[in-house]
Amino acid sequence: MHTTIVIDEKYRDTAAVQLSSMLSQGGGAELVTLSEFLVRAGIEFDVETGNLNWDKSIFSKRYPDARSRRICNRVISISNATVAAMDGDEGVLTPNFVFDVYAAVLKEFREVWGEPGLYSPAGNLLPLNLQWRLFASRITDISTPKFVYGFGFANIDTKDFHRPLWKSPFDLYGWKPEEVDKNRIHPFVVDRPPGTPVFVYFVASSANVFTVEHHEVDEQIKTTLMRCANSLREMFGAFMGEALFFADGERLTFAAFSHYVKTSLSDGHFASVLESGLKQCAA
Amino acid sequence: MFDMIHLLTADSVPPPLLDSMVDVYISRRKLDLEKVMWYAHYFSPAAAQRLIAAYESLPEASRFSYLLSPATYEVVHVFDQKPVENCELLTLYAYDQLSIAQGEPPKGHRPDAREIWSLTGGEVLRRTQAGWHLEEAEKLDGLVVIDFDSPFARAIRDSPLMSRPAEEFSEAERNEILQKVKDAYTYVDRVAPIFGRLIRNYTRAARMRKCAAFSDVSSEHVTNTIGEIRLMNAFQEAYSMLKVAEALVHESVHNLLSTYEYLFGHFLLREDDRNYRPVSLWSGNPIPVGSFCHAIFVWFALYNLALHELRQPGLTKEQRKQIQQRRNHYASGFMVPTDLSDYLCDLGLFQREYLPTIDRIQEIVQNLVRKESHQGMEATAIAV
Repeated sequence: MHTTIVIDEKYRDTAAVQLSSMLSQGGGAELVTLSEFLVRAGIEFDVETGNLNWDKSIFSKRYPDARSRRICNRVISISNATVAAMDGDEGVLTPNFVFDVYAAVLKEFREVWGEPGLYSPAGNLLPLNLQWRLFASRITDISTPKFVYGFGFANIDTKDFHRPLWKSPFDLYGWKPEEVDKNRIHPFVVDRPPGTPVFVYFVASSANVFTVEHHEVDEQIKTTLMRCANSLREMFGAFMGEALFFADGERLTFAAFSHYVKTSLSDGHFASVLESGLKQCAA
Repeated sequence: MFDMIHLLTADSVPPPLLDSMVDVYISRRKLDLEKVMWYAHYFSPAAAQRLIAAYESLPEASRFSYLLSPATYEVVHVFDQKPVENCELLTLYAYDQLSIAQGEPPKGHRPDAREIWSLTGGEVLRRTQAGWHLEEAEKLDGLVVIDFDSPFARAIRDSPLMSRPAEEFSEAERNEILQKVKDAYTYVDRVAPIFGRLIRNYTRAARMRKCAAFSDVSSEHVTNTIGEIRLMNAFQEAYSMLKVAEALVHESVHNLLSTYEYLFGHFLLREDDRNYRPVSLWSGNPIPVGSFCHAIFVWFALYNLALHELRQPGLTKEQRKQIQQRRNHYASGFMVPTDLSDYLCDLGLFQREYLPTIDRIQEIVQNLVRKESHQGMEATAIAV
């Protein structure tokens, strides 16, 4: 089956090229930006109404075989660049308008890898605190970080924190202490979990565990995290993604999940995990 | 809550909610004041008696002003935290209101004061050599106070907009604001008369604030001062007349909702955990659950305001485009394909009707947007 891989104009999935090359060896694949995909599908901006219209006759002509086509949806966020491409830079549309038509178009295809969820066309895209809450509600034998999210210009008492980090709740990857303005509004302070970083990533139901220094991972930890991969996939509604944990001896703390796999690309097994995952999906 | 949904379309035949809820509010405020008077007896019978006497000294019209004011709401709302102190404050407020009604303070009331303010901040008695002189603030339609100078406008409080000291307005800045606010109100009342009525019914006073360092938030409402709205730096060029119009409607809808919740029960049944805030589908910022609850209605009202604006005859292409831009911004959060209730349901315990209501509003907006797309014509009022 032919696969169309859709990515955002600006927020490009770093795995897209690999996905494309691997799927090309299957039934054929093409890589398109979201705006190109939507225009081809017959979505056009109406200057008179300031809205997007869908000319379904264009869609039928372009994709007469939609019912036997596959979309690999790697649009995790819709950028303003995509919106500008859709409304000719008139500044009239918003990303959610594009999200709405994209979701409608996706429904016309037989197989869609990566479906809309909360805040994202490709699953549930959440800030750290909501990720931890979700994770803790499903998995009870792995900790989540201690944190405080102050409201307004709150003074956060960090005396019980071992390694307080002032972060943004949207910053999935910054876990090193750095000089920040502690007087910022709505301070988000996290106690950096003890231990060393370890990643688990997955593509569909194929997964692997690794560290960025390519150290051996303790077998117990590896087993636990491989088991976690399915839960992560389900709770974030993700087709693929990577999760950062901190391992301190046998103790694990979940830190962050990302729908992107930019760190996991450096894992030596990435290509085989990708291949295996795609094969299982395509079967 | 289908009547609330209908009200916020500003359709020509509003539900009784728009006007009758004000009567219910006054009755309830009176009941709450009576409760205060009764409760205060346990702590200080003398203080309670003084409050009763003060309230009873007020002429009928002044009693309405007293009961409706954001100032007395705020005190009654937290009365039990400091019963005697709050009782004394309510008594002072009653005599302040009486002073305004009489044109001079009753004997012994604030003997050293140079000025005495009404409870909305709309009137002030100033002591002169010739005696007391009454000044009145400008008001929209004789009802909504535009307040620059009252203690309520200048106070330092916890909320973001009031947390830094109030700076002085120049004469030019005052005039700029007055003209803008009047023009904005006139505009709203013309394009969507129901929203004009909403503003008159639910907003007692618009406090104007100046703070040069402030760039974050341009308008504000807080739930413990029902009837008050605040605008920051409204004299600035970037704060256009249309932006003021948007703020007037936005904050008045908050007042409407706070009134509704005060009378009929809160949307959020348990205090939310501020550590877990949903991300706004409009701004992309995490906001408290309570704010998200109100925001749905506010954006819906603004979306309908834009629809009414688009129905004005004789709009230029540029004007039409600008309104469409705002319309789409207001509609934006509703356009997500996932149910709005999914964004909230795990983060709080809600009153039974609330989550179905927001999903219904989302459905209405999506249908209106799609109807416009397909038929290329302006949508008419929804049938609920």
